[in-house]
Amino acid sequence: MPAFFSRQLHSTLIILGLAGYTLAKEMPDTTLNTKLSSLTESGPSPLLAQAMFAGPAPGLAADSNLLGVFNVYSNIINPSISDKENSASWNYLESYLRHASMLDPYFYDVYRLSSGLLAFQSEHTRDAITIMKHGAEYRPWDWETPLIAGFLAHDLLQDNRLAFDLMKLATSRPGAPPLAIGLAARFLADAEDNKTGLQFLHYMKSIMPKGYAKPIDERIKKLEQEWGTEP
Amino acid sequence: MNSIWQTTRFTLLEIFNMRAFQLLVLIALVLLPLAATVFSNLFLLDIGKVRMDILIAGNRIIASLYILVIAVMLMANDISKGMIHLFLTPPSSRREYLIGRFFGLLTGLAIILLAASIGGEAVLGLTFSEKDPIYRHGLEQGDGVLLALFTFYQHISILAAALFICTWATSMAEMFVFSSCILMLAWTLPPVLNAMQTTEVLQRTPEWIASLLKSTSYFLPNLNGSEIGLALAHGLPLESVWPHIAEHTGYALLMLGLALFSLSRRDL
Repeated sequence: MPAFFSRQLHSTLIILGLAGYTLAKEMPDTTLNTKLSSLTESGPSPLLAQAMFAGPAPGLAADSNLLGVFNVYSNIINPSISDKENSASWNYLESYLRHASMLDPYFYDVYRLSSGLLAFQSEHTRDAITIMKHGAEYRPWDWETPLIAGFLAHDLLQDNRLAFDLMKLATSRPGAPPLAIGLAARFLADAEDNKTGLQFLHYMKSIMPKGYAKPIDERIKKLEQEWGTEP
Repeated sequence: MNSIWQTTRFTLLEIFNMRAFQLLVLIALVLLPLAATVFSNLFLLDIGKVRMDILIAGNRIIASLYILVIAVMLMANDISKGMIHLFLTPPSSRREYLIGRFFGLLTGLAIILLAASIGGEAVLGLTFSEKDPIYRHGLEQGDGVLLALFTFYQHISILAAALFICTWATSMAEMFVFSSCILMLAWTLPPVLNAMQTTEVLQRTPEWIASLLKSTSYFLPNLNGSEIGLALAHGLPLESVWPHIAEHTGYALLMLGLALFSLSRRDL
């Protein structure tokens, strides 16, 4: 080894290392892109494995699943992907949301994305509503999630029985708007008959705070005129 | 009593001079809050919750690293390299040495978590000043301190278990590996046991595996407490804290007793 290199070995190694590292950094890294793409395409890890790995911090695992949703959605909106890839991506998106809701059932962003993204994909509407129903059971202060889920069940699934159950859940929550009561009555009437819908409204009037009585009365009056039915 | 106090004081001085300890304090005070603030902005509404999640995971990792890198290494140095003899000069006894070490290490953990609670409160303060209530549902100033307290009491038992391991393991490598195993099992086993409560999983799991997992869980403290973490992150009322505290205190006392017994009989 030349004397210069043996004396300045550490400086030589640092300079060579820095040069190699900088050059490599500037090169386009296709390997990384492939890896990230395959990571997104593989979907979330099994729920139990995630729970084990997260241990006492399942909330963070739920957060990471939500980042997975953003990742998959960026794939979905890419116009160049095939229908097969698109369908697989929606399945992964559903899995990410479901896992996030199982790991942290109080996480509101999960239900916001379930209603805003997943529900409008016809194959996954029922999945989205199931996720929202699961969240509504854990969040006793939240009337919005069951109300939106109920409306989606009526509008997208035409399942008025499910829509009524969810709307009824929403009406039992503090601060739920009278609109929820009216919608619940309408869905019940569609699922059963007009008389049952009006009976539900009378029942709600009897158990709700007095402030709700006026809008419920107005609703009863309107529906009686519309349906011509006496409870 | 004086020997215990002297050992505690000496342990603290040793810990303060360790680079690893200074680094953990820096992470708890600056880097963790910074990471929580930056990464949470990737989310939509529950930004306060995501910040708390990062703080929860960070606090737990820091406390676990403290036990492995500082507590176990300090004990390994004492026992494997014979440094323990410096402490065991009369009138100091083995019992006083171990209790002094335990309190010193516990105080070191408390100092790290104090730094973590200051960092956590700073993150919460920032969240309250810059975010509308919709982004921080249920969170309150003071949750950072609660989180640090919660992490502290859950690691008292693990620290005592690590000391017990150090009193009978024969080398530094053994002490490190066995303590890591205890931490890993305490971290991962509770979610598995929770999952096994569900009928679907129970039906698929062979009976002997279920019994093995259940009996293993009896030898470990429930480090998980994930429901407490979720409650803290969402500002929900804490309901199951007292059974946890009782469990960890009992486990810590048991392990400390076993450690004293084991050290008293060890050939040094």
